[in-house]
Amino acid sequence: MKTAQRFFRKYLLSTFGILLLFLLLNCILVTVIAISSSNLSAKSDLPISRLAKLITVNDKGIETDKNFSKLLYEQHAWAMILNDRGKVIWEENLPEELPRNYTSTQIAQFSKWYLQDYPVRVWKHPAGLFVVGYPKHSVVKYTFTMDYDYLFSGLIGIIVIFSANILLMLILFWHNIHRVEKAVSPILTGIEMMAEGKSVNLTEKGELKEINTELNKAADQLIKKDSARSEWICAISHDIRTPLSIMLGYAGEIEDDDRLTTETRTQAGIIRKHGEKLRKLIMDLNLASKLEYSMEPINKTLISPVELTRQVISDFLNNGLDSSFVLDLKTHSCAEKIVIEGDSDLLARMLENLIHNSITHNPHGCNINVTISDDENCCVIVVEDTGKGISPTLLERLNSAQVKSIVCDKGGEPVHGLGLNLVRQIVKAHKGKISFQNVEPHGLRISIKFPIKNKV
Amino acid sequence: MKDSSILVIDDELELLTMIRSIFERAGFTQITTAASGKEALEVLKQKMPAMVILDVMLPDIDGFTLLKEIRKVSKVPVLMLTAKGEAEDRFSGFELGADDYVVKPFLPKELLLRVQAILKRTYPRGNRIVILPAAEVDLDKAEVHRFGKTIPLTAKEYNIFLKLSENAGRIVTIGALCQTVCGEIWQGYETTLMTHIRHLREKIEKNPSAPEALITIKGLGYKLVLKEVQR
Repeated sequence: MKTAQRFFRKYLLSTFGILLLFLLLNCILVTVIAISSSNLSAKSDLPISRLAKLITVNDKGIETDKNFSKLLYEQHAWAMILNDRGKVIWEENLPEELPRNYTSTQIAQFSKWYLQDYPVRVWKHPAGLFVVGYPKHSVVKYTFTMDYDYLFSGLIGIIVIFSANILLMLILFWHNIHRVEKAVSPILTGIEMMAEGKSVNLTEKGELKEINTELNKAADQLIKKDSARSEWICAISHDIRTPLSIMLGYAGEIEDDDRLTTETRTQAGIIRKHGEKLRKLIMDLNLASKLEYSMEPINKTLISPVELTRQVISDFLNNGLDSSFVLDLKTHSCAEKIVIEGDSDLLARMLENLIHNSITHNPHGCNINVTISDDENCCVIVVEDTGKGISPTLLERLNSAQVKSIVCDKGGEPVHGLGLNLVRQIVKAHKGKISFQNVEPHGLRISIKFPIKNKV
Repeated sequence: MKDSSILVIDDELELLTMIRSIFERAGFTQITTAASGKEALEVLKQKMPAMVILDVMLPDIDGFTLLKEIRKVSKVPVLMLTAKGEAEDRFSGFELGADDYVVKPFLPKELLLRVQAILKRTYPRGNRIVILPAAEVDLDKAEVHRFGKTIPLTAKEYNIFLKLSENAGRIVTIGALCQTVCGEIWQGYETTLMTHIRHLREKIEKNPSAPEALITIKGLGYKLVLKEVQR
């Protein structure tokens, strides 16, 4: 969910960024074009003020600078000076068709518009009204008159319209992205839930309805497959129970029958021993499969880990532990007071499996020490033996592995010790941590940490 | 105890034969079997046994229903024997009044021990005397007889001793002992338990500093070593 939110936030920000970039780019372009075109027109423009300066009035009358004619010629322009009565008192290149006398109305007209289609400019000169005419269709003349208030409110209006546009655009963007987010988020959540192995139930509505339906189907199928596997294991282990009970029962009977030969009784004993192994395996398999699919309900109660360990060790000792094994419990002074929250059956099973593991893998006997201590709000249970330990490869695998598939690993190889795998799952179900390490000179140490609920 | 009548109900005939054989070898003389719920109800109508071993999965009536039927008319101890081991099933069995629960595949010894323990608990016989190396304890009177003297046990000492004698020869954990004396919340009671144990030893041991009957199992709990148990 967080990833999706982050993604959409980034997307929204980048959209705003793009918008800003566009605005900035447009502003720059407009400015550049305006400046360059004004430069261009300034080049070609013949400023009337400059021309006016080149005309002087003296005793001889009106005189022009030698550059004046050249400038005028280059622009194909003409010039004239009118006196106050509208008569042309001086002229240069003045087209023939133009009159030499003007009424004040004509003057007013051409100074604003055109003089017989010639665009003209006027300038007040000591000699009179200086008029410069440009070739026809070379200059566009418009007169712009506007009320001051109107201009002001117009400017504000433009700013308001522009801002409103931007704002609307942002809102629409945000709305759109929000819609996409709303449609996509459940799908992403669904995928996350699927990855966690939980059931997915998306509402099959909206534009992405089909994707939701497909996702629901996929999740359903995954769960069905998982539960089918678990049910299969459950059914098998169920069907095996009665035959195994009969096998164990009769093997025990034969073993205890003193009318039979020692050899037969020993053989019966071997059958019973292996039957018991099979029994433990089935129970582990069933529980592991259920824990993997979170089917086994965890009945959490407050437990004293020290007492729980005492019971497990006592059971081992009461049921006759081979004399080649020494099983011992060590508790640190504060450990007695630790209380953790957990399923006592499962935790007992975990300890049984760990101790059983040391016993099975060290048939010639070893010392097994269980230590319980507390460490920074954690209850630490260490099961350490003086046996042969395990290979570095396996150690690495045990330490790095997530809780693995209960039957086989990726390569189809049976996972070492279903019992250890079950231990992992029980630890995981109790939010604990487990680590494996070899000890010097030889032996295996398994440390498990559980969060402490409280101390008595 | 061995003459107690036990009814075993299971649809697997071979399993029935096996259980009968285990119990008869152990000395039980009155084992009746029933292969279906209907058959079981008929047997139960004729005569209520001292104990019932009941399978949950029966072809006609489900074991829990049968248990309900039994509970309507009798408080006879019932041990549920089943292939189902799930926690929920275990709870529903106990809620309906089952006395114990053994999950298949079971070890014959385990079944035998559990049945014997239930029978012992349900039908206590008088004159229960526990004989220890240096003393005799009369459980009915809560008294210790030693060197011709009679020493009474306090209620707490009695409870501790009873728990130990019920599990004679086996380790009983410190927690389990504390729990028998002061119930579910027992943490912090360990020191008091040690005092009770010391007093018990003073009453039952020849030399309380070197106990022969009430042995400490370091870190785990205590074990009662008997000379012989008489009933």
